[in-house]
Amino acid sequence: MEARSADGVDTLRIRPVVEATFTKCMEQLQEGYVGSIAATAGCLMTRVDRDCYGMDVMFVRVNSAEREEVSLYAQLKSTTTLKPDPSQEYFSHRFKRREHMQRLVNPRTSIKAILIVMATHPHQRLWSAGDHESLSLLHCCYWAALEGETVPAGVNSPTVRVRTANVFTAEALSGMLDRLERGEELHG
Amino acid sequence: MAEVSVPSARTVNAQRLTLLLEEAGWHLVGGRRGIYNRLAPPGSEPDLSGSLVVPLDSSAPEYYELMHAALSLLSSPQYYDLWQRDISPRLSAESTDEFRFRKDSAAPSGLISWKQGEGLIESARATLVAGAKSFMEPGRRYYSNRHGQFANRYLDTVLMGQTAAGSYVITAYAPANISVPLKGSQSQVLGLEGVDLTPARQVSAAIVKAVEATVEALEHHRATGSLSGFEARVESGVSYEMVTALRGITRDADEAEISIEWDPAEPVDDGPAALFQFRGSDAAVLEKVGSRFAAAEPEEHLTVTGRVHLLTKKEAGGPGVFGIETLGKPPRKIRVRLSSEEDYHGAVRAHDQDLAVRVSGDMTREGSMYWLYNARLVEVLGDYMELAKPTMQPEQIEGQHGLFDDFAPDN
Repeated sequence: MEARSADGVDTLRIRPVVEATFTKCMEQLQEGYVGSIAATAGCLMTRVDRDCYGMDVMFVRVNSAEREEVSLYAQLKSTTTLKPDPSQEYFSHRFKRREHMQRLVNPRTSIKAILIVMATHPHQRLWSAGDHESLSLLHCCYWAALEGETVPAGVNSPTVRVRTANVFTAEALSGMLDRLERGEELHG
Repeated sequence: MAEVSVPSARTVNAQRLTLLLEEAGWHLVGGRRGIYNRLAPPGSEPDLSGSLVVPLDSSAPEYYELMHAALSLLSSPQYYDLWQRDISPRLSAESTDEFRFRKDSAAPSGLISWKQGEGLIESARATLVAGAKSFMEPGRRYYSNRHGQFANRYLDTVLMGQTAAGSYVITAYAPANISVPLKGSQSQVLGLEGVDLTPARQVSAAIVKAVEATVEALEHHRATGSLSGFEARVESGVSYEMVTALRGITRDADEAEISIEWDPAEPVDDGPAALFQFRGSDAAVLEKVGSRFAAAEPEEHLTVTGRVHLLTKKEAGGPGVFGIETLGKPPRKIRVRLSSEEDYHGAVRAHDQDLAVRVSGDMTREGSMYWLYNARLVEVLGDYMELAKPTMQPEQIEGQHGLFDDFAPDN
């Protein structure tokens, strides 16, 4: 039996440190995660008005005078009900609302958009740990480029498959931006 | 805070939006050529937070989504002032030319004393009207009410903008590609350019030409002490009305300026903008010129006979004005201002005893009312009721002519 709070968080499994802000903290954790990745890849990350764009952040790699900037939108989703098995090629992510997926599949030529799904531990206290050497965050962000896919008709909460190989790292982000600069597509 | 409406992303031109933002102090911090511009507000951090993406490629499938997002952000409370004052009025797809009237004001920046502010608005309006009249009939020194209705129709197409920060500034947005009917609406049959219609842009150009000519004449006067430059430029639109309007703008200020910026979407041969500057000392010169032009106007001298139907004095001890209703068919009402106060007694007596009067003076028309100035009460006649009987003819007096025959009907 699962109990769900109003925003769909599985309340039986989670162990919040502060219950009222748990969901907001999940978002904050993910922003910190992707922000660190972006910084490692030499990119700036700015928050974007979700109501306007259907996106949460934008990565911008500012280049030298000869080359122009390149940017990429990302829709951030975070879940505690998921821990993908790396030995499986895919895992599934369910969108709460159809239009979230629609925004990601719509064709784009000016600025591309990707989905970043974070699998987070249900026990908030375990989310991060750090020492003199390093910081670790649980668990992992995965990216997916969904442009050109179809949102299945009549489904309010559509599901997509995400490759477990698509771990969101600085190399992955740099590679994506390089492809965008060359005018290539991102599907993969 | 008032509701702001977001214009449809379909009507907004991305280059224009970029231009407007840059004029408001935003700067281009990045982007991709032909794809999007990235602009940051003045004083922002170099980390691109708060930067705005303006899409440029209207063939992109997500163009309207991006443009709508940009407009939504700009019309949000965070940018209310910027949006209301600098962006929204100038964003529409209609091309607009922009006049700015600026007057130095002793009041703190962005403020002007109330009466001066009212005066500046009036003078700005008068400048536009005078120029519009010179468009219709170039080469006239004194327009009075001629072409007043056309000038009004032009003015109907013009928008007054919010004043900008800085010394007090009035902005007039005149459309670049809307046409103004040359005649009143009933006679507009064909809707053809040059026949029934004229582009507002051409009227604006005539206004600029007249202002420029006046400035040149002022410079000529500064250099030579001669007012002849004004007379020489009547053909270019220097008129009593124009110099009076400009005097209103330059009066009581050290400096004043009028500028025009042509809509970049509809370029003009002479360059994208022009600036005309005035000094406080110009006001006296313009007043002199105005008096000259008014004095040179040939008077329409008239003698009328009628009944005094109205007596009025604005202030106790001041000059009296009376109204005559003429004997002709149809009877007309004329106001009379006497050159000598003594004649007023005669008017009072005629009013009291229902006597007809004969009055002679210089005719002019203000609005819908006819006036006789410098008038002389020639004669108090006999009983009005007797004179008004149908058997009586309007008397033939030398100098009198059919009251309303010779005056060109106003368009």
